[in-house]
Amino acid sequence: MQHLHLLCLSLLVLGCVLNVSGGNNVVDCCLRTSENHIPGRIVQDYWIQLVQDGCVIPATVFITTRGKRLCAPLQAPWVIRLREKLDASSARKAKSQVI
Amino acid sequence: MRLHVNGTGGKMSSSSTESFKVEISTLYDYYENYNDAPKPCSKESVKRFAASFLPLLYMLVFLVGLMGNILVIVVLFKYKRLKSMTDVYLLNLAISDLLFVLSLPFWSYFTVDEWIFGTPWCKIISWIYLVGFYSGIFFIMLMSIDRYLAIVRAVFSLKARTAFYGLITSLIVWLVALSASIPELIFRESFKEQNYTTCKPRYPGNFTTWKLFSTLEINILGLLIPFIVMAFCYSMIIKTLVHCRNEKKNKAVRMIFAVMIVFFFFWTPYNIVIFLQSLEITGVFRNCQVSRNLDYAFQVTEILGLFHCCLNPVIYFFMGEKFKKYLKMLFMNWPLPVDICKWCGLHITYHTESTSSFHTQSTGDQDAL
Repeated sequence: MQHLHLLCLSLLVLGCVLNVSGGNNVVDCCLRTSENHIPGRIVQDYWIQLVQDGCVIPATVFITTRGKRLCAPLQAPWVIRLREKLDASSARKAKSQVI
Repeated sequence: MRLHVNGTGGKMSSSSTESFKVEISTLYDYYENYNDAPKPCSKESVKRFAASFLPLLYMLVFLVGLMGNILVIVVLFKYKRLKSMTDVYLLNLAISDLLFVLSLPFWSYFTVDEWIFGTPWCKIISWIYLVGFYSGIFFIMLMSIDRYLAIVRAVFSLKARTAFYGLITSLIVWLVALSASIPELIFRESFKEQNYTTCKPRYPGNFTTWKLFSTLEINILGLLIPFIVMAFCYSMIIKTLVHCRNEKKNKAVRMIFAVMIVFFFFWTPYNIVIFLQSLEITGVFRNCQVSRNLDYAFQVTEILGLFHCCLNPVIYFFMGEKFKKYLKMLFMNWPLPVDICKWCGLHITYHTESTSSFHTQSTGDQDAL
């Protein structure tokens, strides 16, 4: 029995030491959004959060130039404009990379 | 507004505007409404927690479950030859636990890295996992019915508790488990989500309804029905045993309580947590800390549930008196039994006991209890 205990203990210790990154189905979700406009100059990218991902509400998540993430509504007019702008600039970037 | 937007997204992309942009954003960070803007609820701590100890616990359950259940199957085939209903159920329980356990290395890898096995394997592994989950619980339920028949309905059981009926009911259980898990087979998909390849169900139509449905399905089939059946069977058994004068009575009653308590101790927390998580999806509580705590609770209670399949061989088989004798016989035929037994923690003394006490057990029921 002692062998088994030792085995369990060493496995647990090993688990703490390894400390690998990742997770399974845990997603960072916006729980609320605000109507405060986010200036276009501070965002560099976005992704869309859907209820299908396992989140309570759908939202647009903007990533700022400093890598922070901000929650915005999914369908507010200013959000849609900002998304279109980002889409256009990323499309241009991709095009210039190809050329 | 239009002009403003076009201005930043325009063609001026020299280094000076870049640095200007960064400066502005820094200013924005500190002075504008940046701090008021809601941020996503970060689950970084949960992911680190999960990735640090889940893979090894999965592998531990995998190894212990694999060895225990293979041993049960070997002993059943070699010495029992599946003569009774109990044997058939024990075999099926071991097979379903084995099925369940075989999916764990995949989940283990998934927690460390991402889902690299593609959509077909995502479907198959998730299906195997859920089929193993349901069938394992159903066979535990059938074991309690089997004992109920043997002890409370002794006369009827002479006709009913045959290997044939065991086989028929087992087939029905497999069919129910397979069909209850079909949504998993249909909707599970592997796809990219926030730069991370995942294996998740993608439901058509209303996600919340599907999520609630699949959670309630697990709650009802995996906890509520087994609870009702087991509570009925074991309370009737205890009522019958109280009236009979048998020295083994106390041991049997203790064993029944052990089975019940172990089952509910290992599976109830998981059921409560997945129920709360489905409530969370419906938007009952929108609190980041609550959500994080539920994620932690999910990881812990899931592992607790997984360990139950390692315990099945111990509870239903290894504790039975006959089994110890079979195990001795099995290991005596092996070349290096001493070393192997040291490893499983079973210090068996070969020469002191003979197999003369082999036939002292009368019924298979007390053996099973």
